Amino acid sequence: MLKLKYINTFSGINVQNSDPKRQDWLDILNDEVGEITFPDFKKYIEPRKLRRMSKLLRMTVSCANCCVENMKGFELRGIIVATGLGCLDDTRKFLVEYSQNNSASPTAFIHSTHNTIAGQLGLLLQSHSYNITHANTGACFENALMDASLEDHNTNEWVLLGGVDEQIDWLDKLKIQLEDFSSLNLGSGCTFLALSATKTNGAVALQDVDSFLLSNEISAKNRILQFLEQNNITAGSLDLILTNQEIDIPDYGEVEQINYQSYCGSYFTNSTFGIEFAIQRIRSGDKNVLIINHHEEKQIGLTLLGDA
Amino acid sequence: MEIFITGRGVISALGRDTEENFKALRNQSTGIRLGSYADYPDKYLGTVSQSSEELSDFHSLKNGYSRTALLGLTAAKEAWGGLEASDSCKTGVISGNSVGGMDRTEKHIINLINTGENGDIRSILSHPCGYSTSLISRIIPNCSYANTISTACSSGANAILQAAKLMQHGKLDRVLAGGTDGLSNFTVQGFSSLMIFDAVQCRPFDANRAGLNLGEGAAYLLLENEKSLRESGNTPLAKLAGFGIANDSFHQTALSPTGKGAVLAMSQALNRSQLNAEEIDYINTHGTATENNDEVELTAIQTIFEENVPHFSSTKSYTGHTLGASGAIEAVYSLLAVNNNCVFPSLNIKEDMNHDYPALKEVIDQEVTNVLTNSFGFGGNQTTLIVSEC
Repeated sequence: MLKLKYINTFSGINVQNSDPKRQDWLDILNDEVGEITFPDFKKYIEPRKLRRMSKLLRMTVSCANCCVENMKGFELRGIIVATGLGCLDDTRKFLVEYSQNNSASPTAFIHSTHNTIAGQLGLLLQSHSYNITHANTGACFENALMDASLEDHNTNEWVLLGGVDEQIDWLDKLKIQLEDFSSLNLGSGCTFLALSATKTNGAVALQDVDSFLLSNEISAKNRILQFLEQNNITAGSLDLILTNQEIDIPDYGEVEQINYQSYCGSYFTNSTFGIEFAIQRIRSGDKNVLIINHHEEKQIGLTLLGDA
Repeated sequence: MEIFITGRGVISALGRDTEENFKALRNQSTGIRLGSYADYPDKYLGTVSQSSEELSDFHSLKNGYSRTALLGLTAAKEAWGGLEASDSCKTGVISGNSVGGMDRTEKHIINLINTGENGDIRSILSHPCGYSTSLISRIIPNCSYANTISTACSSGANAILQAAKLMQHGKLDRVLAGGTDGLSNFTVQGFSSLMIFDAVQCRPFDANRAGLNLGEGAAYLLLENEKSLRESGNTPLAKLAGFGIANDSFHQTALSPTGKGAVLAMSQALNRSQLNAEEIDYINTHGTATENNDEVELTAIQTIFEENVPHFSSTKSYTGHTLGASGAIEAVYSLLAVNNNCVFPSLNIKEDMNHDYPALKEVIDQEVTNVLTNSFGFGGNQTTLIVSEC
């Protein structure tokens, strides 16, 4: 049984959209994955706090604050973050500093841990409740969403759930030397969601989420089939399938299929971009949307969203 | 729903399996040594004595795997034992670590900076935290779920907690859960920059403690529900009776003076286990031996236990602080206390802290039914687990 049934709001910054308040960026979709344009962070974060934050933390706090604003009257009961590579730029900074000088200042080290993101949110929002960070490369967002959906809650409580990864110049330099990755279009992005048991205006239903490690016994196609059957999705009742790569999908009639990764670029938590995409489509009339996050042939994350 | 512990595996500075670790704990023999890590000959560190090459050989792997992955694989194999594939039990692995394959990444980067030569670029592929989990998942037949938790020093404990949560909600029947972290220059330099290294062997709960020693290692528990037990035929060693998680929300690296997060985590774990505080026989503390941690942790323990503070100690005086592995290693030590009816002391205490209750200084053989263990991390992450006799 899913416990937190509704995604009430989202706030994101990605290569397509630099406004964490914008809820309708499907209209401005551009099929080129360019550089991310950052918003004026001062609009979302107190300047005093802003100064010491990396770009990744600035994105995080801006989006989280937008969710908080939308959930006034509800009590924050948990902070869950998914990140594939964590605070990469601070990791790079510290690594370079001690490699060159054989000593380093602690600032970058303190901010280099993956849970700096959720930890800083706990601190800023003064939340003593559940706080955890999922980091299982490309599958981390669905793992985190599953975790969130199992949280116990009361009707006036909510959970802040985010996925964030940053692209730094280093990644591009390293990638071109690696055959399997050299053609990837790297992106970065940050999405935060507000989940609760009670729906507010604009909410979509989180019908189900699962994360699988694939084996020789069960193919991706069969996992998808099982997942849809469990949720009583019949041919014709699915409006849209969002994927991040070419994948063999079971026959569900004429279903529109869109590759979200071609819009947001490749990063470990980019299925959050698919979630934002799906929420907008459901708000404009779709009933059921499936988001498939298939990663490195081994992992598959499946999220089914529907109208509330 | 009960969660049974049916297997355990550990590798640390105390040895390469559970038996070697237990013997060292019983003998009060530390694994922390000066100069055990070649790049830092002046530091006391809890280094695993096998080199990465030896570990690769042991697993019949070619060289080039990260130390985090190799240590994890060693403990995971011991914990999993020879359990066969199950068609009806949903099986998973959840592993915690803090810096992933940093030992390989930094070798590549340092070489690049110092010589301008690129070396083997593929060594950076083991960098993500999920890499070691993926390697471990391959030893588990029909493994259909994999997850990696990274909450700094509480990663291993939170991996076990996440497993318990998924089992309680019927998502998994059988989980290998724990944590792994290999030593890296990154973490040695990091803790060095924070100036919290003791220049000698660390002294948790000593009035004159002066900081921590880093260590490395890995540990896993095999967790099964009743359905899984019926199929595996395994005999439970103990049960995971309680778990609690909270955030201190005070500072990125320091604990609040009252230990608010720690108090919340311990009380949640006690509530979940339906145990009274006085039923806890031993506390395996986080006990890093920093000024801040031990003072706050002991304050929080006294808040929860009042006049019933049980025996407590820090086994980090044997292993060093093994970061993302520590919560899992200490969960295995808590299990050993229950299974062997003995409690392990803290080493190196010369003068007790100015509190009503001193830490344990000698091994005591006594009935041990319930053990509580704490893990705290950067970012205010605080987690408590309770291991109980079946």
